[in-house]
Amino acid sequence: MASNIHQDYFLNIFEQNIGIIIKIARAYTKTIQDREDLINDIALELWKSFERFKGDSKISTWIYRVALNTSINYNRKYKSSSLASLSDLKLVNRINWLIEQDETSQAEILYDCINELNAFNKAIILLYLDGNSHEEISAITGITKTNVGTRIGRIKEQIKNLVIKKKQNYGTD
Amino acid sequence: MELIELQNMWKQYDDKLSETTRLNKEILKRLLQSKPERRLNWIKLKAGFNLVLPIVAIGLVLLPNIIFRNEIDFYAGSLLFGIVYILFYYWAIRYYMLINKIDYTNSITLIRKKVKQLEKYKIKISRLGYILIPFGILGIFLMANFPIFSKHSILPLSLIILVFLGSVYYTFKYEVFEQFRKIDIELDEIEQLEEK
Repeated sequence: MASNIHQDYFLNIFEQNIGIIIKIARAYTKTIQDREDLINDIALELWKSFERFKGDSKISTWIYRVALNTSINYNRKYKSSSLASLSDLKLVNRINWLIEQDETSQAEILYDCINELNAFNKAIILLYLDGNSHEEISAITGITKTNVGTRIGRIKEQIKNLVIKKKQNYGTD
Repeated sequence: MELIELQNMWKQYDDKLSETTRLNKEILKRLLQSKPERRLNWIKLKAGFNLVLPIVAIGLVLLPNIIFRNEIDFYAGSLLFGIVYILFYYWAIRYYMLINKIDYTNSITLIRKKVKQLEKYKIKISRLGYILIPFGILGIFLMANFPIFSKHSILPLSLIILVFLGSVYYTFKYEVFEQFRKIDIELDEIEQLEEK
């Protein structure tokens, strides 16, 4: 009974924050299959760490951390199998518990640009676009507040140029 | 295009996502109940297999082919092989335990540093492994009373040594130092991000 309540509580948190997970998974993968696998992995990592979550930080901070760390590591494991301790299992279920619609072309352009960034910058810009403050970004990433500010400035320039270039390639304005 | 436009684009996408995303809680619930357990069992099974395999290999391959002799060569060979074998075994277990200690609820920089340090550890143990393998092989030869310096053995033995030396030379000169250099640069970069 207690376990069910625990699980329901987790599911509610998960549902409230599913947007964060989808956006992060989309940014760190290139194919739909990878994305689905990654969302499954994130869900499981969150569930595994849920018992250890004592509310010392905000729920969103915990979700961002687990989702971003899983995503960064997910990319790694497909390059090298040496660190794939938790990911060797090939019995990945299709993600049949999630229903979502196709994204807009604008979002597609934005993701294409975000994809060009390295893992750290990708994390920072995703957190920034989601409306997190410099302080929150610092807490999630471990980067100092000053560095977050500097990085955002640089990424902004990079993204700006990339969006213009991509829009030209897509033939939209 | 300014950042504010990007943020607006993002906001629109976010709103649309919230509207169109639906969760099937029942399926997710079942998935959460069964999959971590299955995954955990798989990890345990794999770990168990990796722990048992070297022992089985020794039992099946080495022991039936080696006859005990009360000679200094045999003891020296057993000692050499035993030390190398135990070290390899210990490193493999330690590496596995370190991987499992990684906690994704920590900050990104911390996890990145841990992963990089793990990579470094892996390279270090591979390097030490390279150095120790000849001693392990020598131990087997001594235990098996293999005639190292006979007419029949000199050609295959020379070939083994040549291939081994070539591999060590290539690995040390081109791969290991380059990998270490890259990892150290990445670690420095991460530390700078945390310190400034």
